[in-house]
Amino acid sequence: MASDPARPQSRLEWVRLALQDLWHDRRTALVLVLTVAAILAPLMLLLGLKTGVIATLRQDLLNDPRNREIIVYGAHRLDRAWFAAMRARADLGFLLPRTRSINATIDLLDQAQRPYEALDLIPTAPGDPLLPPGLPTPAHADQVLLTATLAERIGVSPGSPLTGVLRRTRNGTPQTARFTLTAIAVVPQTSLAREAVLTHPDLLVAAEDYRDGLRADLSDADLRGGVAGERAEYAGARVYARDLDGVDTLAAAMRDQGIEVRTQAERIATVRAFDRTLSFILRVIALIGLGGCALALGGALWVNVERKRRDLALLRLFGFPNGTVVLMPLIQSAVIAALAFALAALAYLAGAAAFNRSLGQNLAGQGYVCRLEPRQLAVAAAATLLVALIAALAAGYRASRIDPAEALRDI
Amino acid sequence: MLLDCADLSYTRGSGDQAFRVLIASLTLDLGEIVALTGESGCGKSTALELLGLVVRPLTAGRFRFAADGEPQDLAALWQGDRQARLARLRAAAIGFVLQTGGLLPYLSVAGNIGINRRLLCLPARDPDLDAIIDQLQIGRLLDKQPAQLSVGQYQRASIARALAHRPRLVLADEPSSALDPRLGEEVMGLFLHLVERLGTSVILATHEQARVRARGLREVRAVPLADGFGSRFDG
Repeated sequence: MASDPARPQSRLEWVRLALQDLWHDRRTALVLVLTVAAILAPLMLLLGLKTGVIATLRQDLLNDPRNREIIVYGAHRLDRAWFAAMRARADLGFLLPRTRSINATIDLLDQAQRPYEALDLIPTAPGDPLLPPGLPTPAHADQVLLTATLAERIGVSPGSPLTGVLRRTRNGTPQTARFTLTAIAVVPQTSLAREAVLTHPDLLVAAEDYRDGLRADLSDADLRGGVAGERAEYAGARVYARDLDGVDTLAAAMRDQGIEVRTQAERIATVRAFDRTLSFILRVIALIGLGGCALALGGALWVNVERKRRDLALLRLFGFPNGTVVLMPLIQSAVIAALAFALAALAYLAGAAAFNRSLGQNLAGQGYVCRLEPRQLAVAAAATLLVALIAALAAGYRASRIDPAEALRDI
Repeated sequence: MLLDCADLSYTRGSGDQAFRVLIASLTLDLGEIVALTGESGCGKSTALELLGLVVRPLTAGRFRFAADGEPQDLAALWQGDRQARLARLRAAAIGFVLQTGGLLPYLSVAGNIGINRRLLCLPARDPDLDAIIDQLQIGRLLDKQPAQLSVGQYQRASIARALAHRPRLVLADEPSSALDPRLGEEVMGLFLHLVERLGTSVILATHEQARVRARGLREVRAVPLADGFGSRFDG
């Protein structure tokens, strides 16, 4: 005979039964799946929109290097140790020494000897956030880049020679140094809109030395031959953070050192505040949506247990442990939630594709209107499952109160 | 001896409505069939619930069940509230045939018949089960849903379900009374013939005393309690 109470019993038969019950009642299950999916899909689209919009705004900020710039005001004495310490920071993106701003100007003469006076002279080097990728950087002090506005006014194109002019007054006598510069590239207007000359830091140092009277002259030969050795101290620096979050930390560190700095903190703070506001709104909507979802699903599962009391009592009569009968609504709820999530994810993908196609064109560059990171999808799936299990708790409790004797009594 | 109980009682309802069912003494040998008879409402079903480990006895002077050969003290299991152990015993050693509705609507006939076998990790089919299915003439119904069966087919499938895992004890609660007399006689005949052949012990609750006597079954008749409202079975 087979009857042997000591033999092991299947631990998973109830899962099979729960799924078969769900399949047998598939029209009810489908209605529940659709209900849950109808709540989830718009929530996922909202989350995707929020993520997409914020990511786009942040990307826009990142794309504009000025938002990562920490502008140093005034003249300081920044020594080699300071530069080394700054370069060691993880939040630093780009660092280049600069001279006193009063000395950071130059006059240019075009080939017709027309003068262009007091142009801003900005030091640059490989990795300069102001320069779009692919643009050459000066290897020597006689190479310059002109911004597009300036190049247009002067009428030069890459490769054209220019004459640089520096003026000083010594013992009451005006003196000038003239030297030949080569425009190696033009900086597009989107990178830097104003008129400026970008050059090797050596030219700035040489210009300052010339104006301060530290050198007698500045000739073509001087420029090509490596005009300046490294200085012990600089009056300022061009500083860029690695990313938006680095702007705050870097600026704070510099302020602590007594350096007056300014940043585009407000623009960054605006995006952050926008992010916070949207996240808050989304949380409230999600809470209401998922709360309603839990109540709807929980109610339906409760009614289901009531409707199937006799079947559940029968299982208890057959010798299924109480625990398995309690777990049946839970696994059914989990399956409903999983199907609903899959359905909602499909609806989300369709909606997101439509948003990105129709609205994405309004965004510059790589902007997405609607997107979800895999991590967000995983969190959404976990939240759905959690809500489903919470919803099933009441039904499970109801099922736990079912007496196997009901199978014999209720006819 | 498979079952041996004395002073096993349960009270249903409360106050003036309280109805006491007392099994003063009852013994059952392996392969023996006993019929609990009495009018409707005399507590036959409650007696089956007590014997089927479905309800907690109010008193249990002696309650031994040799589910696996050795007599086990079920009174102690109830006293210790060993619900899980009692459920395992129910799953392995007891089969129930109900008056109606003994099948799960969401499983096919084959799924219903196999439910306790799956729970007990037994192979889906074996020659004994094939013979049971054959004898109950439900081979062609295995793929059907319970809702598609006639009452007679349904009851035969229920009997197969109760016997499929070869329990030592089958408790049958008015298994033929939902059927018309001719069909009821036929199903009852099939059932009793089958359990005799299998050597399964049966406790049959029925109000059809004439049929029990006609078949010459051992009968335990419910008698009103001498003290208070209720019934007493003494076999």
